[in-house]
Amino acid sequence: MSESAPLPAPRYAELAVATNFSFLRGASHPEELVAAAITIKLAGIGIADRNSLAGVVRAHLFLRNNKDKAGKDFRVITGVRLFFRDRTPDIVVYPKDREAYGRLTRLLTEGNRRAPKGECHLTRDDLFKYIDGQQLIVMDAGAPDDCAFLAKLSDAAPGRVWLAASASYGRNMRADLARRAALARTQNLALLATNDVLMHAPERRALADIVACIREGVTLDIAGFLLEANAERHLKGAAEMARLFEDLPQALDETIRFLDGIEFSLDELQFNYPDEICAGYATEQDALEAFVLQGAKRRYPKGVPDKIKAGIAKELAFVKEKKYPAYFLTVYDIVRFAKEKGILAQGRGSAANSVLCYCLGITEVDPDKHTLLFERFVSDARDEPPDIDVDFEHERREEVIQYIYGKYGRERAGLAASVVTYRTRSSIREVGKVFGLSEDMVSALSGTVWGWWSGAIDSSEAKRLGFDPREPRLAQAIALAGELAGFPRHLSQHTGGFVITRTRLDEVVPIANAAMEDRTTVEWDKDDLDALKILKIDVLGLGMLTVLRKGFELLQRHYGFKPTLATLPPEEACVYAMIQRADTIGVFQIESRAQMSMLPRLKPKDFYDLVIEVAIVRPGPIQGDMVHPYLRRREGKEKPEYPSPELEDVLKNTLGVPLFQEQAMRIAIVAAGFTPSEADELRRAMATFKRAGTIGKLKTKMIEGMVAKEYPRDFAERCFQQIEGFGTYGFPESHASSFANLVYASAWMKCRYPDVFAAAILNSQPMGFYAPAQLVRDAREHGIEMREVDINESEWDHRLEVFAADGSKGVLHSRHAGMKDHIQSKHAVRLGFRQIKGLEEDDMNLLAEQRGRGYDSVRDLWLRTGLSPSVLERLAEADAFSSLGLSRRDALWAVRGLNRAGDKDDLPLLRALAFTPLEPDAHLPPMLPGEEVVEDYRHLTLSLKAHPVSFVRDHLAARNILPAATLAAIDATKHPRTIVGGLVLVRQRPGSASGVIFMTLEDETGIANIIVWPKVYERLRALVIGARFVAVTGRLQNESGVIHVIAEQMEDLTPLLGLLSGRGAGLSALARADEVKRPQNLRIKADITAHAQRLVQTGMKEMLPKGRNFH
Amino acid sequence: MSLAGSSERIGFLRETLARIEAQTFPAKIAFSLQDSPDAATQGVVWRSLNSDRIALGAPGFSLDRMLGGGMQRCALHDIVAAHPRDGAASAAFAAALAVRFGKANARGAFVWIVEEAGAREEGLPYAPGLCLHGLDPARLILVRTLHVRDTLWVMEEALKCRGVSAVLAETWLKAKDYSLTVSRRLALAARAGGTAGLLRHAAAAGEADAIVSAAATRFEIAARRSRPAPAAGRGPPLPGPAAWGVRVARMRAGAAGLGRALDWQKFSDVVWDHEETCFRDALSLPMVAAPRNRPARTGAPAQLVAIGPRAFSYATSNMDKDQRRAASRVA
Amino acid sequence: MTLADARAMLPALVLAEADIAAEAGLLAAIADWCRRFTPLAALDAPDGVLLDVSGASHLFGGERALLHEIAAALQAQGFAARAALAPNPALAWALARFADVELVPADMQECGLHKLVADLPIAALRIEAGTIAALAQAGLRRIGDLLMRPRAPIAARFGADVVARLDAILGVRGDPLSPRFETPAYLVERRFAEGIARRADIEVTISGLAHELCILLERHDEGAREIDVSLFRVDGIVKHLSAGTSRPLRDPKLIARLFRERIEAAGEEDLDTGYGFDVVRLAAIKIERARMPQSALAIGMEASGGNHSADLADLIDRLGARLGLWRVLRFEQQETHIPEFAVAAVPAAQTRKRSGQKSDAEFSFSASADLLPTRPLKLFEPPEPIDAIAPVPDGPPARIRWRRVWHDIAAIEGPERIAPEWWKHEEAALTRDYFRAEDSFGQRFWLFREGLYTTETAQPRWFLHGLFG
Repeated sequence: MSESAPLPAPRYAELAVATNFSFLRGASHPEELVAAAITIKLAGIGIADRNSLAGVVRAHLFLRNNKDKAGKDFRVITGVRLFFRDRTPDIVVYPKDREAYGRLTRLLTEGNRRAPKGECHLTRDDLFKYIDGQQLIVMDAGAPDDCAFLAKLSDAAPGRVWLAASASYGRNMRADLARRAALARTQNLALLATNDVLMHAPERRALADIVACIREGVTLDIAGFLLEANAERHLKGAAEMARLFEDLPQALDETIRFLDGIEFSLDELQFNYPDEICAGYATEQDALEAFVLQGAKRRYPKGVPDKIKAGIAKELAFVKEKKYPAYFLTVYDIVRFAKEKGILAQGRGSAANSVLCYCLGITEVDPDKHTLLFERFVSDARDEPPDIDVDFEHERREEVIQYIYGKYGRERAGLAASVVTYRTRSSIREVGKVFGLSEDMVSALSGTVWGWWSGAIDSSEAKRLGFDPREPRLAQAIALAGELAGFPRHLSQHTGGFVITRTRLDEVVPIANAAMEDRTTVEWDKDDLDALKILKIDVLGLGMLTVLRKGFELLQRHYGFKPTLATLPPEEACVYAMIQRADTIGVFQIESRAQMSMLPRLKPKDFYDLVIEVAIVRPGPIQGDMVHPYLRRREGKEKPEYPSPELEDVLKNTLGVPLFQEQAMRIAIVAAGFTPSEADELRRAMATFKRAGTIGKLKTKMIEGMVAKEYPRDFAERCFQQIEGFGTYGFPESHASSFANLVYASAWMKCRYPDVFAAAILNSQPMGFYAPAQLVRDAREHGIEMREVDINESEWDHRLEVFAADGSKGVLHSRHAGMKDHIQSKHAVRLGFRQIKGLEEDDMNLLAEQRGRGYDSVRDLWLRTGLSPSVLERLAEADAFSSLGLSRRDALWAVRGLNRAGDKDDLPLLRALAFTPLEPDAHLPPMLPGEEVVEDYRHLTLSLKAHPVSFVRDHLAARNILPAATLAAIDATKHPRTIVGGLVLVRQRPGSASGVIFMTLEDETGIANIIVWPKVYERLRALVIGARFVAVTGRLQNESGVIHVIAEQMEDLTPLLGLLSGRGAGLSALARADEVKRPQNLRIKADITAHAQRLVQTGMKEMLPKGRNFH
Repeated sequence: MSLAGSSERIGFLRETLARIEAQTFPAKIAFSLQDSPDAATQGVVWRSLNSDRIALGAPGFSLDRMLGGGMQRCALHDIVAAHPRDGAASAAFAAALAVRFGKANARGAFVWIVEEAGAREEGLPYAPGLCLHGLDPARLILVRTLHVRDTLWVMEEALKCRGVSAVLAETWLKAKDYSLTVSRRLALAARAGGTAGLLRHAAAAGEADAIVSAAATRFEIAARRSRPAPAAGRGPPLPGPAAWGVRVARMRAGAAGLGRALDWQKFSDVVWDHEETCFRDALSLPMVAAPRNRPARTGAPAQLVAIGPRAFSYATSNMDKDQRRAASRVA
Repeated sequence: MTLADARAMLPALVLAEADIAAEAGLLAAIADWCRRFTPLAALDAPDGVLLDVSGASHLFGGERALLHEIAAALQAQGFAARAALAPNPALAWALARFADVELVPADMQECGLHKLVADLPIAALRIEAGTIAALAQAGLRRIGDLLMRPRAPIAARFGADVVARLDAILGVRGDPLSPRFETPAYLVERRFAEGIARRADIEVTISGLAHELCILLERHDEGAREIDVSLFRVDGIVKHLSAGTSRPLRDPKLIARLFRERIEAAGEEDLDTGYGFDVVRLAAIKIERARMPQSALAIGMEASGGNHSADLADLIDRLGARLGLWRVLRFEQQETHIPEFAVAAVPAAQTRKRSGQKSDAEFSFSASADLLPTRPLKLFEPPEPIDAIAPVPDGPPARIRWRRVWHDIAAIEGPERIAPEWWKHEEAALTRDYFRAEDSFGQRFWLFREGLYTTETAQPRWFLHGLFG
């Protein structure tokens, strides 16, 4: 036989591909699919997720970053697989051009908007409405062949309808192919080969089965026919497809013809920014220039410095060239709106590098005083739009958001999505369920993962829990959980990233309903939008801004002056003195345990030190081992060394230790020869978890680049490590500056006006690190009198009352004695009704309005306000009737005695007579002081009467358990071992601290900091986690005033608290500190009944705060 | 069992038999009278007999015509394969009959008896396959017997049970061991229980005419090539729906005047429509490759292709030697 | 404490879910056992049984002896139980849970009673947890705290219920919370010093009791529709046999026969006489006024139309009894693609389980889902090895040899690829490619090739797995 001439190699494009953004259907990342398509040399790949475009940008981007590996003709095209709610077959749709793309996104938007969050409801009518310019593939699944429909489809999209056929290895593979071929013939449609892909490689079959089980809520063992029978739905090469379609070779050719028909690319979407109001100026640029100059004059009343003038000129020119003026005007307008409404706002992040932003009032970091890097903000080389993030008061951010929706309309404005992915913990939980692992096994496994890390479960950890990781089922579950981690789970709304466009936004990206009413989100996240150069503005909420605004208002009302962030007295030494003592409870950013232990060592003395403080106590620098060298050099124990003069420039300000993102990037540029855009790529590559990417390549490039420039290899590796940490947790210097600004402002207020600070921060709860009890205690130690909540005195908010007519001041705790002359407070704080659990603001406003000259009895209050007895019960339980001379118990008795049913009818009569029916006296037994405290905790989450521990001090003293306050006075070298006891306030296990647990104990004298090493933790685990009141025996450590007890032994003292009431049963949960995190009123109902049950059923354990866990 | 005991038993049987035969008709009249008290006695009997027949296919189905309106419901029927290789075909035919009987008695169970020898030789009934055959596995009770003796006992017990619509027994009983006595017992049980009995003689392939039985009908079944559907390209064709050649080898004169015109040697080719659960003549078959799920009949007309003579001749020309011999014997 | 908390504290914690149904069942069994002392024994969920022993205690040598007998017997059976006997159910409930006093004589003086009750905690009133908490908030923790205070203010604040419960525990008023006793309409029983174990004895006893019962029924012109025999075994187990009748019955012979058959059906083993029964009780649970017997014709109709499923159950039982349960089978669908596991044959006598799950043994193959039957009528287990001539890698066979006969394949569908269930860890499991093949005689086979060519094996093997009709 003569050899036949070689046939031309078949070409094939796979056009029906579901990524894992077809949630719980697709089993591969978009990047993996594109990579596989490139590897097996397909002509192209079409991404078509189920009613969504959420995954297409990632696929598009992957190709953009890997152009070199892909053939020059290889294409990724953007489409969607429409899934209908009527009996219409699935249809894969690809827009031919930009206009058709806009129609497609509108189609999806309509489907999204009429459905609940996460769903998209479509019918075939929707398709016909937007069918112009779309190429369609009618899939062979889900619905019967419908010739009439196909005919109608061909009429509506002549020449643009293809009929899909798959060689699926299903039950009737050959018959199905024959049927589709016959249908195509009779309907005069082109037959198109596809493998209806769910995964990039057959090895993903297991994971595909897992996600199917999760989707259907079944275990593997009963999933049965919900799973695919085989692993065939993976990407297949042209040769293999040609073999499968041996009898229908034209079906392969059609894929190429289809691909060639698509002109649209996501790159066409970029730069679509709304025209802004020019406020009477000719152009947006003119308007911007005018606003900037006005702003500059306001910022520098004494004359604009030359440096600033130059900066303005440079930035304006750049903005003009890049056509960004409208963007700046938009942000300016939003900030202007906030300021008009009295909403405190401040730009954060890299925007603080811009002089324009400072002049426009968007940021508050004075560029005159700091070296700013405009390039970090916007860079020519990166060719990416600027990114301005603005923080607003968390309580009033919604007003800003609604303003934006109002101004631009929902067609042009939407929130960016945030892709919620499976983390290790959630994936082991889901996978464990699918495997039918017992609930306790799953809990144990997921319990080994603290926090949010996305790493795999450590098999040694599993072994420690008594599981055999080689047991195949368990091993598989763990391995698959690792594979699932990083998969997108659903779309959620980004905290505040707004996308605003000139044309209709729904023609750029599909818009969907968010979980919150009145919110809509787009389907793409921050990174997707960045990559497509679509401008966005981050409108974020920040609790501290709320505190500061409320504080400024109180200052105005009670002290007669109203500062702003810009007009606070700068650089006051007493403020720094307070910070150096780590007296920073409630202060922005530096109130955490880790920050507080750093302060006495770092001893910040000026603003730049605060910038460093903010940036240094971050996982990035900690993981990069940058903290200790910096401290040593700062304390003068070590001389700063610079590996080269060029790096001295970069690292001078931070004593040779890279602490900021900008520095890390500049090291890459200066020392490793990166281009700025490569440096940024490096930062980004780290930022997103598990994106198939180029990290390895960049790492080699950086380290080898530095070694080539004769830097020590270990230095190079450390630099890289740090960038790795920065990816997720590092701060740019500009951002740290913005935050440091708030650190100073809040510290100033706390230092000078602790009364104002306490009221403002209590009025902004829940927020921050500390529960109200600690904030109140801190205020009292600073000489502020806290007054009980009372029906005749309090309002909803905490408020200030004149402390003493003669102007005398409160007494300071000895610890803070040095602040005596700096504190300018003249007021006491009256606790407000908001501190009482379960009350409504409206009710309490009514109570305050009707108060007149005061209420004289429970009945009087009830009749005049008409509030329901259950509200009065809340007040009585919180002991708010003491101005009537009623104890908590008596008040409650009186409230309960209001004849609920009868009196309502008699109300008008009774009101007229102010009649109190006589009732025999009940002679209730008085409450013990300890009981009162417990009740306070239960209803107010704090007590002004006493600290619970004070009631058992005798018992503690008898056992040599020391008050926390005495620790500072002990010479650690002479008395290495001590015992302290207290309520557990906080347990913290920072991910960066390799298993060390920090506990904070509190007694009536103060706070004690405990460190539990992992080995000790293993031994004391149950106590560390479970006890509410403990005694810790351990080694005392005092390092420059930072006092720790290194735990060796621990004892559960919780039962001692039973002594508080004399009888156990009267007690119940003291406030759980972690409730601060959650909106309280949601839990009231459950609380009441659950509480009552607990009262009967449980012992002492439940009475005390559980302590808050931080990761 | 002692000899005396056995003869005693036979005596008892005879009595029972006589009693049941005597009772049957009056009982039927009594029931029918309630339906229409005015009807003439003769007419009532005829109608009740008629209503006791189950049509196997749509009106006009050839086999129904031959059988005089269908198969007797409360009776015993023998089924024999034409050739050893037709075993599965004859079992499937019997199962299809059971589906028809089950349809008429929606609440009854279907008892299928398989001997161990049969399980080894032909496999065991497979529920998913039965389901696709049109038989609801939820109504099926499978009885696996060790011996022929058990098979016959189970069949008789099951036939007598009013909760059963049909009993299919596949027995490896030797044709010579099967007798009028044995079959009459079963027939009586079927009549007493109002149940259809289907006895497949698995060991008697090709011996349809040699069997002595009191059954109401006896079928001989041969596998037939299905009408194949074309594949998309050049490959071999796709198999079509099950097809059988069916010969009514014997029919008891249940209704006088029927069967006279019957050609006892003729194989009728039938197919089984598992979706509609009815038999059809092989000639009136819709095309196999018609699109799934009955497309809306617009656009191109649905393709009804009459079965070509080629396919038919293909089947007959492949008739194997035994079959041909049987045919010539008949001739 | 949440499970997660407990887990975090003690990783090796073993978790057992509370089996509420089993606990309830156990309590019911205990209540059942208690009926040997008095038929008036009621389940007082979740953790109690209430007995009305009025007039019964003398059988056991007085109240204290009865109480001790009950407590001792329960203890002997391994239960931790507290028993108390009091003039009213509320007080008995409270004493059994909150006091050491176990017996309060019916004639106790009022002041003594007050004193006794005053010491009990409020919870002994069996009022809502919320109310208990509210009272505790007011500093009222013992019943005495309530007794010494005026009632009106308490009722106004905590509801009339509290006062009603006070009255109940003092026996002043009836107790609405007590469980209701389900009393049979008529009941006769016989006690034996030594347990009776022989079936004949039991049947004779029932027969005698049936006579007594029917005299009672006769007297009131009533008939039983539901009759129950309780057999109290010496070691505490109680056996129940119950029978419903299609018409009111008061013929002792019929009743006796009914139970004779029940005992026969249950079989010697099931009755499990053990050490014998010391109490045999016959009760008419439901009664109806006796009517004229219906016409024989109507009854016949009813019988022929109504009870087919019972007939079938009977048949299954009889077949199973003779051939063995595992020879009388029904099918349950299994959710799997692997053909031989797609269906499970289980004894037809076994009740359907897995009812809570997604697939309720209903077969989901519907004929219309497939153009043609894709699964064979008969399946070989195990599959029979065959030879096949087929193109690589996954082409359809052209000829096969089965049982030494070659078959030419004339029509074929496939491959249908079924991969092994990866989570089952069967080492040797390979992917199968199934074919439906028809030979030149019209014989239809279900074949498969085992192992994917090159990726799984170099030498795929062939099997015949089933036959189509």
